[in-house]
Amino acid sequence: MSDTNDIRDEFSPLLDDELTSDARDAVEAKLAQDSDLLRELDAMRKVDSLYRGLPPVEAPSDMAARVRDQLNPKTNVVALRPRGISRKVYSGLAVAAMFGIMVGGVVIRQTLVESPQAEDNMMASAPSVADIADDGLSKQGSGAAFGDERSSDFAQEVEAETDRAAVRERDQGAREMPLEESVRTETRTRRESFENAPAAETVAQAMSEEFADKELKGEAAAKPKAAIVPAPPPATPSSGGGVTAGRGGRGGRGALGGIAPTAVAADADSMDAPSHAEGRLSLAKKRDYTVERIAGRVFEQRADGWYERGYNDEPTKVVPRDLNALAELVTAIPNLRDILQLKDDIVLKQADKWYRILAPAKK
Amino acid sequence: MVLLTEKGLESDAGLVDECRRGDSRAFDALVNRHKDRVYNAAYRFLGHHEEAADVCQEVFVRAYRAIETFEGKAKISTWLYSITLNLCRNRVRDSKRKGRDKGVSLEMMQESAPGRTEMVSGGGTTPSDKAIRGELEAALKSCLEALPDHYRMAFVLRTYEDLAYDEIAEVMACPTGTVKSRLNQARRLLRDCLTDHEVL
Repeated sequence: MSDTNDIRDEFSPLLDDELTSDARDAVEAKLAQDSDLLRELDAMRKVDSLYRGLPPVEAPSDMAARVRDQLNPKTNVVALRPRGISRKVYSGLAVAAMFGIMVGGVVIRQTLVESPQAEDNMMASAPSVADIADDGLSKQGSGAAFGDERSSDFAQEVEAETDRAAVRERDQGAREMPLEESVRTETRTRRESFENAPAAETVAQAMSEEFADKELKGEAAAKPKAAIVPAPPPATPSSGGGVTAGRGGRGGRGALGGIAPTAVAADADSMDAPSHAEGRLSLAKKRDYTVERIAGRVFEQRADGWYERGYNDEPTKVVPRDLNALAELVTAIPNLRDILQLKDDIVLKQADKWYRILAPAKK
Repeated sequence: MVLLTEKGLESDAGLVDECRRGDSRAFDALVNRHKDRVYNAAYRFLGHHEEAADVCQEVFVRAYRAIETFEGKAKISTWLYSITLNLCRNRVRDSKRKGRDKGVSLEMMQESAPGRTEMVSGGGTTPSDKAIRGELEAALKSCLEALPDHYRMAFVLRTYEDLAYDEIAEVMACPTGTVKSRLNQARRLLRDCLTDHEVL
């Protein structure tokens, strides 16, 4: 019995040709003596034959594509990472590539804007002295022309003050710098303030570099603060908006974050010029405080810093001007870089909380 | 095209090396080279084309993700079969858990399979021939699926994939003697089952 079972155990190796020649001979000798065992073996052989007779099935022809899709559904490309390159190095290369693209974009933009032809085009679309003197900003001074960011009251104030400045200019006669030149100067100043700024994507890096640089040189405390004046309303070239036209006719929108500051810092030289900027400066002086409109926010200069309109002695969260501390606000306020041009404490509201961003020197 | 041809002629080990270096075409070549074997094994084990396709796809996805761990001591096909076996087992277990293991349905029996054109037992095209072939095929599938998983997989790897005993042992992570025993037992059970179905 046990001998018979031993033979049965060898049926499969016999069918599969997995027996040594000696073992095969021994099994075949037993089978020759036992017809029942031989029938069993034949039945098993037939089982094999039936199953092997089934034609093979084939995988779907698009199997490789399916696998790729599952591995990388977005790009439909199998993104194999070369062996030997660590994930950190790979990430670093990706960041470097992104940085290169951004720098390239900035260079191209500067090249286009600073070309003489672009400069000529911008100045050609600027209004003449007579246009400004006769019409002031009245033609563009309607509330609709100012856009959503400006109130009509503010526009009318600027308009009236500018008209008075133009009258004073006519009365006083010739000046050291012609009005058109002053417009050109301010145009250049404003354009440089935007065009020299880094792209929005590099805000974080630029901020950290700026802070580090000033911390080393102590510039922030030593540099005299420029006067801040409200900007003229954005205007189309046809309406005589010389300053705005100098920004490439983009309807008053800067390249940074899509929203340009509505006021600029004019340096002392340009303040000497008898331009409509002088009128705006007078307006600012007439008020007890200077107003700055940046990124849709209105900031008022008080004794210890710039306060966003609406602040009423609420508690503030103090935020130093360093990248880590500002990370939360950088994320929440796309135009924070523009606001940070105010070189003093800045109190602003974000998500129902008030923040005090310390001046660079107070770090 | 030339590159694809070259990839097609490369050894499995060479393709694996290129995959590790980031060559996605090498991985495509591996998939195209082994997909039918993997699919066939999965289909014989599961008895359903859609499930077999899913398993086949998952096998290669897992292989890709783990290709750096493939040491190259075994053949890549052996490795792929191991993954296939595990996935098939999981799928059967999940089906049983969900109560979907209803055996082989008539619909599944009559499912037209890619590459399945005729039964070896008869090449006739009359309705009677088709009916006989259908019954035979249904019986074969029914008996195969009635086998315990480890018997079924041993039988599939041997009968359809033509693996040697030591290769089956490697795939199933068991001794060669166990493979022999499982194959023997699988054939006996199939013989008895087919006898009950009056096929033998």
